Amino acid sequence: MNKRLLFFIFLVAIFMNISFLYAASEETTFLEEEIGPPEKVIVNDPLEPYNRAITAFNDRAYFYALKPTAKGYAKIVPEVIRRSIDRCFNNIGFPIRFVNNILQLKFKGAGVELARFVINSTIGIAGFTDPARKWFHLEPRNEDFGQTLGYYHMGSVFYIVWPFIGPSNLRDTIGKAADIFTQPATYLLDWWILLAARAFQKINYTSLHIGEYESMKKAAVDYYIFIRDAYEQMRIKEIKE
Amino acid sequence: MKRLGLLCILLVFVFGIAGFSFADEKSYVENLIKSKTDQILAVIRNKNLSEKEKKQKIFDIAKPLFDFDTMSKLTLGRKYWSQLTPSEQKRFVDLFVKRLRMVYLDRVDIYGNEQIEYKPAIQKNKRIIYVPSVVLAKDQKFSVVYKFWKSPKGWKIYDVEIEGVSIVRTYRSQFISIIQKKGIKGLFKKLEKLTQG
Repeated sequence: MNKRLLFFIFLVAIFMNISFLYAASEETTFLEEEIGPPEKVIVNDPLEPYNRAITAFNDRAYFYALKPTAKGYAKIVPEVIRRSIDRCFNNIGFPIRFVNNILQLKFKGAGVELARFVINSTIGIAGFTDPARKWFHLEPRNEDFGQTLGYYHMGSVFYIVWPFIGPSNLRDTIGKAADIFTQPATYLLDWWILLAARAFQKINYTSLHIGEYESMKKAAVDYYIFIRDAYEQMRIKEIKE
Repeated sequence: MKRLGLLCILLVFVFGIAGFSFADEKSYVENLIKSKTDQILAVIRNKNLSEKEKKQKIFDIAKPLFDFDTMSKLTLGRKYWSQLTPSEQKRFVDLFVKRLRMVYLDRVDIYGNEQIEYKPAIQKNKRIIYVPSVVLAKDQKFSVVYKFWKSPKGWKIYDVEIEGVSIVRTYRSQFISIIQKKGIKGLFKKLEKLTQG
């Protein structure tokens, strides 16, 4: 009896010592595993030379065309109005969010989006303000067709950078194309009006976010890799949500 | 028999404490990040300090929260980290911290009006706790997750995730790509160039 008891205590002592050692070890392999496999494994980039060239082109387009235009525009139009315009453009994107919430069986999300659209288009004066968020605490539920494809387990396939538009991948490119066809405006307006509206939206958006691209670029050691990896990680998170 | 009963009670007691400290650790980590960010926000909002003083104060507050050695190790990955001599490892940590400091303390002037909302900490496993938070800025909000691990020196941050983008991971991708093209020497050269001035 006594011997068995002693042995038992001995075992407990060993167990506790092991767990103590484990708790204090400097071993960080488990952290490495937690962060995930190196990026090369998750981002397939067979078009890297082309993508790098387009990234450099977009970088120049930003600094020599988009940024100066947005800055000049910001001098004329006050920030309050620019924010309203940005909200209005977002409001117009309602069909995309609504349809893709449904496609992902997120019916509550679709309901929230519908309520937001109705409230903001009426009380919110065509979406220029956001009373749905301010008064009803309805937060936007962003979903697009790229996320829907991801929801049904489609991978990014390969990374691709589009001129003016920026980082994407095959899945999200298909998604973007589908999103365009979800927009009623696509069928109602001439292509050049749509293009002009898109350009205006981009200038307006940029005017509210000057400095963000710059500090991101500054943070990077190799900004092509940084953007590629950040884009893929961000999309993975959006798909999970 | 009596002693066995005593032992049972003792065991329950020991595991009880373990269970208790489990919950306790979560709230400890939560409070730690909250009090530190409150201190940092107070520094940012203090109008009597110059920008240089602010940066120094913020760094002093934030430094003990982070496990820079482990962060550096993780950004290189086991494979490349083990190829460095101890003095090279130390040099790498110095360069990496310098770089992080330059990048993330660059524009303290633009922060300060944001509100931070903390969500309950998540115990990933025995030695990893996530503290998710939401930063509310003007028209947008973004998620920030502080990832803590139980290091030999206590709970420390080994990674920060902003909108799903992990800092350690993006650095690792860049470092590995540079190493594969220009070797470890090339990476050191690049970091030295970037941390100058």
